[in-house]
Amino acid sequence: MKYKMMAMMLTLSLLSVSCDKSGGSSSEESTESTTTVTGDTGPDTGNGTTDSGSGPGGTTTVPPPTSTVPQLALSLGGNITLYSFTTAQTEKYNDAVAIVKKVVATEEFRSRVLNYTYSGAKQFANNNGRTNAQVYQSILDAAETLKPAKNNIIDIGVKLYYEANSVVGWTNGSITYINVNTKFFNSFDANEVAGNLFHEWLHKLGYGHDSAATAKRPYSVPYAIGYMIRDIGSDFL
Amino acid sequence: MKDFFMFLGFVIALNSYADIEYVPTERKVTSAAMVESNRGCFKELNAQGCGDPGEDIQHFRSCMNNAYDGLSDTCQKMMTKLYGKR
Repeated sequence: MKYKMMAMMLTLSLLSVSCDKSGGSSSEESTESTTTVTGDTGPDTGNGTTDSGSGPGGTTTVPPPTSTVPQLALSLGGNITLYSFTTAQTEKYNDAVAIVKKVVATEEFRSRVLNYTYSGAKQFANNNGRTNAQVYQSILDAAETLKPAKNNIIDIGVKLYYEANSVVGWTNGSITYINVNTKFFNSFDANEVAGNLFHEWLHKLGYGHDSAATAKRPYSVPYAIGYMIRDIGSDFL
Repeated sequence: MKDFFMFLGFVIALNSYADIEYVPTERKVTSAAMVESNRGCFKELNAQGCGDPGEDIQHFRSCMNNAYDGLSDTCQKMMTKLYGKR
């Protein structure tokens, strides 16, 4: 009886665990160095933001609208380490990071997250017990599970690999980087890369989803918000 | 029973390191025409001194609001969609 139960548990656990992914080589010649893309803090080696000062002295007296987007959404930074990226790949990833920041700074993104509905209620699936507002705030806080400081900075590494399957990228709970499949990365537009980046980064914030393609999975935080980044991000291509 | 719970704990520990994969359900490619139209809107705003929203979002928004009435209908709709009503 004891061994029967153990065998049953083993079978159940094997069904829920994905196969380990082994890395593959990039299809392009790559350098051995790492590139760190930073945003509002640290040395500006990538797509940093600049403070261009006050607005123009126009004659129209239109008051700016009352912005509902919090300051943290406007200042989200990126501390993204790219491992062995070529120059072209780095440029594409820089563009994707820029799109992520631009999208998070929009009212549209805020509104979509706060008003997201699943199963008839304003909620995401697999939300770790958080309301939509709390999910939104967790994005702005940017406190990754393995780097828990609320620093308003996306702290993540990115590694490329190649595998001829349908997986765009993957990560797990014990590593601070994400793995991106060049089978897709090479042909993706920057907004699609941005969507994948954000999806994987949301895993680093502790959000998960069903492994299998269940009806619920697209409504999980990583999938739903990753798609928002991709879709809104298309306006910034 | 003790052995069973030890085994269960081991399996749970293994699961916490399981790979989480991203498999998109669909590809959404933005048409060249749409990209051109969107870029046109940002170029229109850049020409008015609003810069790029990635450089200084507060300046961009303030400038965009000032320039709003003079923007094309398409651009006005896009700005309202992204940044809310004026």
